[in-house]
Amino acid sequence: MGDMNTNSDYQSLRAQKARFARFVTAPVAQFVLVMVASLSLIGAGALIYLDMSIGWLLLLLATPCVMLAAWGGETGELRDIPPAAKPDSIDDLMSSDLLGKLPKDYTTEQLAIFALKTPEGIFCMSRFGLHVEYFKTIIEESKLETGPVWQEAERIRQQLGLPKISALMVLTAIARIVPQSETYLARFKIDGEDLIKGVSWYFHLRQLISKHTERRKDGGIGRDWSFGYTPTLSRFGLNISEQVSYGGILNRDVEAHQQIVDRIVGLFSQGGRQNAALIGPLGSGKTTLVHTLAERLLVAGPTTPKQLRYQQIFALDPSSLIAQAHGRGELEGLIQQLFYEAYSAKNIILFLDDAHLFFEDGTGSVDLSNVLLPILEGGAVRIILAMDEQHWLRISQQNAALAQYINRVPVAPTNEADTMLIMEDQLILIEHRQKASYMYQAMQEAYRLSDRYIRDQAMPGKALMLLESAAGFSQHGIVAPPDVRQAIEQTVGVKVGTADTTEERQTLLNLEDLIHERMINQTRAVQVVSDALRRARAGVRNQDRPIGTFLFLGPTGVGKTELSKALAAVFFGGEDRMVRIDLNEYVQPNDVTRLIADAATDSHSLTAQIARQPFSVVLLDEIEKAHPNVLNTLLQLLDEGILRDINNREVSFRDAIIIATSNAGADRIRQYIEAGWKMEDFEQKFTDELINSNQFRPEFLNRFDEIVLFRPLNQSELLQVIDLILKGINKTLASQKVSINVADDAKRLLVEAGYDPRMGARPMRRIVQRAVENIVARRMLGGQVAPGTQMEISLTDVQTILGQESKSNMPVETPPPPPEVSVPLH
Amino acid sequence: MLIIALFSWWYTTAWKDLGRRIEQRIDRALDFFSVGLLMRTLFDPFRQIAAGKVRGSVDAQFRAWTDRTFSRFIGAAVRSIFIVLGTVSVLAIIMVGFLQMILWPFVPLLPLLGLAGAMMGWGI
Repeated sequence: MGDMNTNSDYQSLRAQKARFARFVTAPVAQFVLVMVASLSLIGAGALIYLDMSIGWLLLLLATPCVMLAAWGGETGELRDIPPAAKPDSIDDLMSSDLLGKLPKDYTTEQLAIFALKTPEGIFCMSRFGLHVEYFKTIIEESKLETGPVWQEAERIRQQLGLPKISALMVLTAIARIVPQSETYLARFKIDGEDLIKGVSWYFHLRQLISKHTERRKDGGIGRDWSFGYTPTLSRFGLNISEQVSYGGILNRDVEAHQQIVDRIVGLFSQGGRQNAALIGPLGSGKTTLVHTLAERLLVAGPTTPKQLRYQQIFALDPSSLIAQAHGRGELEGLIQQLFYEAYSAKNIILFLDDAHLFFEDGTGSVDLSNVLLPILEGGAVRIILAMDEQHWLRISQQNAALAQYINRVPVAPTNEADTMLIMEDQLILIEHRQKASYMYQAMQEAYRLSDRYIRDQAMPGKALMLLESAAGFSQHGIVAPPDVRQAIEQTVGVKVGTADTTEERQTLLNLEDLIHERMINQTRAVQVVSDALRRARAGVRNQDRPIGTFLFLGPTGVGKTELSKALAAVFFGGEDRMVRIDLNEYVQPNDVTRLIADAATDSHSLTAQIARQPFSVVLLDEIEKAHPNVLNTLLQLLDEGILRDINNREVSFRDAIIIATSNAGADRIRQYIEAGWKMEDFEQKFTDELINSNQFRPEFLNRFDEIVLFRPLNQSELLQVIDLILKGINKTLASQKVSINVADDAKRLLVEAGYDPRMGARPMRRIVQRAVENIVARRMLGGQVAPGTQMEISLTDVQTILGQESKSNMPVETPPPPPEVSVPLH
Repeated sequence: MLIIALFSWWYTTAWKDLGRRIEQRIDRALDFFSVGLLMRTLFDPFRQIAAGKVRGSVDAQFRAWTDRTFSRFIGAAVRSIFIVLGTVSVLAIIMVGFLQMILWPFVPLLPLLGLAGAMMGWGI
């Protein structure tokens, strides 16, 4: 910036021109000027022809109109006044649309308001959501002067290498230099650098549009006269070059992709094998690369070798060719005809997308290696193949000769910066198609979410796909980050956003209460798990691990599974969001393969279920019974939230809650409780005992976020369990319009009958359901219950029914009780 | 002030821009008629509608040569027509452009001409 004068001179020539331009460049003014000039010239000609010399005077009117129309016309100076050659004040560098609007003495607030009225201001509002009120507030709070704003705007101009200081730079400068600017911008989920990228984006779009509207030099009408006709190719193929020549493509020359196009051009212009196999995952941009290549060959710039200029790229769709040909013989004939035509025409490059369909036999694919191998070997026809890495590996394994003749060109997924640039370009087309406008933050969200949750595609394809699908969720035609979240929630079927609705926030804050509606006590376990969930939904957890990993230890029937189910219901929206793996079925060393089996062979394997439904509670039941190999496999899951399936494909558990349960040390927990210990006082001691007794390895236990102990339930808690069970029964009876009420002494009897110190509350549900349901059934059949009544169940009723059942269930000979086994833990 | 700016633009940038636009028009016309490309490929077989290199009897080779020669003749004729058409178009653009360039500096002087014409009572 140096000595640049940041004060505006209202009377400077450039400022006067800019103000004048506002009127002269207006469409109405241009129309009037052109009309007056035309009519004056016609009138002058007519009058002079009629020998009326006064007609000459009309030239006095026509001339200034012609000159002004040219000055303010499409190619006139006033349309976009260039900056001064040697700028020494801010007026010399300011864009004319802003300069023309500024009053004589303006404040920073006025500067912002006028900047927002320009097309760039509208861009700032629609893309970033920064409106007038935002700027008014930050300017007012910071008492910002215009001088620093211009200095910062000039710095941005220099950083981006642009010729003028534009309205968007001014707005960016204001947003960046106010104190605590990052805090203000954080409310909009952006930072100062994003705004700079926005400026760059705006000018890039302008450049793209102007390039797009230019008439391209494509060789003219005689371009293809030296090349042959291609009727069969035109029938079965798609001429990509023709498509490009009609509309052109809007793409950013990202470095990685340009290198690949250069490589293909290099391969085709040298004397070697005239083919290139683009190997990369779905969505990595293989087809777009071919379009970019088609455009480069069509424009035939100085960097395009002569032998490749005006070459046409024809895409052949293997699946459609296979579908259209009857039988292998006909298909082979058709392929040979297509290749011969391409060879004869001498200006054709063939593009085989999903090329693996021609190299292996299967459903919808035919192995034509015997036909294609000589063509690839001979190199008479230029061919581009596209397929993913796995297919390439399989084909090269099956047919080494084929792989030897193909030039492999890897196409890697784009990184974040390149993906953002590609999205910025493609957005013009997406917006045109979807009739919607996208916010910058929506693009960022599309990248973040697709990167994390869409696994079957690569960047940039998956981000673009998500961005496009988000349009369907937009309100008032503006796609914002919540719309992108909604789009992925609909696709993946889960909540991915941070808690932002009042209702959801209340749910999270009252998580313990909600869980306790389903289960009794175990407050410590519920507390630990609830804290983990709150951290996850508030977005403060480690994103590279599962939401939470817990080891639940305690006797049977005390609520370990129930808590897991409650979590699935409360956090993920349903009990069906729980994936339960009984590890007592994984006791052999080779059971690991079942655990990580491919979905195609076993849809119930752990990896298959989570790949299908990543937002789940994973319940690893009875973990102590699993084989050490299985436990080792699970270590990676607990550590990184990633498990590789049998095909080495990553499956993410980073959106899952992992709960392992074990009965190990259940008796010991009971002993501690009975001895009067508090849970939190013996947790560590108990964990040490588990390690010392070799029940769990320390490296395994350390992988869990929390080791949660469940204590046996006491009598009063069991009564509460009875109430929960009865609540469930009443829910079932609601359809019959009747309800039950069980007397307190009857409940106590049910507790005594149903409680087993080793099995916990588990047998109780069976006892209560059987006793109460039997009583209800008998009364209903006996006509003693009318709809709308409440049935009272007394102690006698329960005694009667339990007495009858115990008689009928009484064994002939009761076996002696087993000796009490005490497993010392250390 | 603004009038000076208008005149200054008219005789500098605008005149130069006019020259550049005429140049672009010529360039586009040359590309549209593929003049350079057609001259380079003047004797190439037209649309490859002839047999390529043929192996076989002298008779077959002679027939192929005749085919190729005929195809080259057709190609040369068609290309020549378009080269002539293109050249005429480009010449027309050059002439019109030249006139525009010559007349451009006189446009601001037209009011003087009008004034003189009116005062002198010029007619046709």
